[in-house]
Amino acid sequence: MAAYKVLIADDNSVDRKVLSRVVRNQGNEVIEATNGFEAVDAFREHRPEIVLMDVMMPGLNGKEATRQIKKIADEDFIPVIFLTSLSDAQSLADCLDSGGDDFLTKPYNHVVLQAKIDSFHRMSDMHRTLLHQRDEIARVNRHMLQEQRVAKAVYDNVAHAGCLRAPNIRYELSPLAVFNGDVLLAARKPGGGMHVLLGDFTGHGLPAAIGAMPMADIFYGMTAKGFGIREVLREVNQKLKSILPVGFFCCAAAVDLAPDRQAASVWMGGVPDCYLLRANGQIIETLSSRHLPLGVMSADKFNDQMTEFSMARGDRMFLWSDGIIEARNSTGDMFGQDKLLNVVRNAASPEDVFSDIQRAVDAFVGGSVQDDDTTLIEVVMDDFDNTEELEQKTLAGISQGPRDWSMDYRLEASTLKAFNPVPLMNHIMMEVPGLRAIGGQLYTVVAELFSNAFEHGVLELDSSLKQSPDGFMEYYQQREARVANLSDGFVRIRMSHKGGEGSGVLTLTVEDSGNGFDYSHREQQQHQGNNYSGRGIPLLENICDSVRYLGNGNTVEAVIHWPLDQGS
Amino acid sequence: MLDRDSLDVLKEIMEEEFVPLIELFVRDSDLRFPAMRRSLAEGDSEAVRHTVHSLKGASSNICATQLAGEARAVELLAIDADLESLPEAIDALEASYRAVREELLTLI
Repeated sequence: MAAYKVLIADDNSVDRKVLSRVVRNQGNEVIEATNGFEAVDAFREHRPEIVLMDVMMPGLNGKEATRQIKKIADEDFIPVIFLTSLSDAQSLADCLDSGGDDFLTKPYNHVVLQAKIDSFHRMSDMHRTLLHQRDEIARVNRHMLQEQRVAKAVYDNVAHAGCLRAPNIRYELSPLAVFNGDVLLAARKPGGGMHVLLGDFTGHGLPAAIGAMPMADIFYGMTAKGFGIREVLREVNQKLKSILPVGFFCCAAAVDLAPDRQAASVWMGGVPDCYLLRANGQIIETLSSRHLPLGVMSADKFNDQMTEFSMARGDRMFLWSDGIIEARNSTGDMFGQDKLLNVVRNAASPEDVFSDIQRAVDAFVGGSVQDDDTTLIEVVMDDFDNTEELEQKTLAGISQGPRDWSMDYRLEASTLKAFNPVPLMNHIMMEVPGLRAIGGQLYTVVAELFSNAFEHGVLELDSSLKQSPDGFMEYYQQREARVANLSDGFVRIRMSHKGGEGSGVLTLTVEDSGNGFDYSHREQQQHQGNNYSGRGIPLLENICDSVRYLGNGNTVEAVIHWPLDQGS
Repeated sequence: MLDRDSLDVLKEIMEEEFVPLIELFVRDSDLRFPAMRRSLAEGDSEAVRHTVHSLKGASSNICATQLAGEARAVELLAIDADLESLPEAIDALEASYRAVREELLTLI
C-alpha cells in the first residue's frame, strides 16, 4: 500500500479521530481540518492527493469548500470523497452532483475506505498520464508544424521557377495545398507555349509533399531544357515510382499548350473529368482520364500517349483535382461533377466561369471546415510573348552539349525480345541543346523507324493487316507470338550529328536483318495512307529533310536539320 | 444497544487511541443536550438539527447504532421545525444516551 497525503475535514471530533486513525493505519499521512475554511487553507498549504470532506459543517459547508478546492487544483485530478450519514439514494446523488467524486457513509468501514482510496489513486495516475501525453502530443504537434513550415519553404524555392502568374492563367490553390497533396506547376517552353501540370498526391501532410519536390524539380528542369511533355511525364513517373511507397501515387493532368499549332495535348491519369470551353462559350469538350496515376506503372509499361485538342485563341481549359468534386457542405453532401458542369454551362460568358466556380463552391461549402482542397486552374490559349523572360530562363538550363559525334548501336534478337531502345536513343539526341525543342517530334521519328525495322524487318509482320480494326488485333497477336519465338535477327541504329552555333544536322540510320522490300514503288504509295496505318511516312517527311531507303530496303536513313525551318 | 462485534473491530483499529476516543465521545455528547435545549428555548430548530446530526454521526461511529437511529428521528423533527414534539423527543433521546454512556464506560 502506498502512502498518500489525505486531508480530512470534519467538524465532529469523534468522527475525525476515527477516520484519521483508519487512514493512518493504512500507511497514509493525514492532515486534519475542523471546518470548511480550514479545509481550503489546509489544501492550499499541503496539497494533499485526496480529500475526505464532511458535507455538513458550520460556516463554509462541505460542498462550497469542495468547489474552492477543485478550483485551486486546476488541471490536477484531486478526488473529494464526501462523508455523510445520509442514506437515501437521492441525497447521495445530490452530493455527487455538487462536485464530489464519491461518498463514504457512517459508520466508516475501513475496508471500503481503503478500496476507495486505492481506486482513486489509480484514477489520479491515469489522469496524470493523460495530461502528460496531452502535453507530449502538443509538443510533437508544434514540432511537426515547424517541420512543415521548413518543408514548405524548401518546396516554394523549387516551385517558384514557374509561370503560374502568366497572364493567360488563373488559379486557386491553398497556401498549404502541398500538404494536402495538391500541386500546380506551369512553365514556359523555350520554343514557345507552355507546360502545365496539376498533381494530386495520395495522403496528406509530409508524405504527400515529399513527392511534389522531385516532381517540380524534374518538371521545371526538363521543360526549361526543351524536353517534351511526354519525356517529362516519363521521368516524373519513374521518379515517383522509385521513391513513393506502394499505394502512394500522384493523380495528374498535364497539358502541353502549343500556340504555334493552335492545339493542346493533354495527359490525364486518375483525375476527374475536366473541360475545354471554346471561345464562343457554346462548346464544352470533356477531358477524361485515360491513364493510371503517376508513380504506378514501371517505365516499360508507362503510357505517355497524349490526347490532342485543337485550341484557338480565347479557348480555355479548366483543370481541377477531386477536391472540388468532393467538397462537402455542413450536411455532408458532395459538390459533385454535375454541379460543376452546370456552373460551366450556365456562366454568362467564358471569362466568368472561373469566378463562378469559385463562388459556387464557396457558397456550397458555406464556411464549413474543409475548403482547403479546392485546387482549380484556368489556362487560356493566347499569343505568347516569351522572348525576354525566356532568355534568362533558358540560359540557366542549357549546357553546352555534344556537337560533333556519331554512334553505332546494334541490338541482337535476345535483347530485342525485352528491350526498347527508343527512350535511350532519344536521351542521346536530347543531349544536343538545339534538338530539345523538337524532342517530341524526334521521339516520333526514332520510334517509327525502329518500329518499322523491328516489326516489318525482323518479325516480318505484314503492315497491311493494320488497315482494319480486326486486323489490328490479329497483327498484335501475331507480334506477341513472334517476339516470344524470336531467336535471331538484329536491329542496328546509327546516329551522327554535326553542329554549328545555332544549327546542326542529325543523321539517323536504322538497319534490320530482314529481307527488305521493293522501295522503288514507295514514292507512288506514300500519299495513299489511310486512317489506320498510313500516317507514318508522311509524318516523318514533315519533320525530316530527307528519308531514303538503301540496300535491299532493310536500311532507312533520315536526315534532320535543326532549326526545322532551315534546310528544305 | 452497542454493536459489540463492530466495537471489537473499532478497538483493534484504534488500539491505544480507543480509550481516549470513548472519553472524547462522552465529553462531547454530554454537552450536546444542554446545547439542544438552549437552541430549543430560542426557537432555533436549525441549530437543534445541527447538534443532533453531529450526535447521530458520532454515535454510529462508536457503534451505538440504535442511538444513531433515534437521533435521526429527532433530526427529522428538527428539520420539520416541530417545536412541540421536540422537547419530549430530546428527553427520550437523552435517556437512551445515558444507557449507552454507562455501557461504554464499563469498557474502559
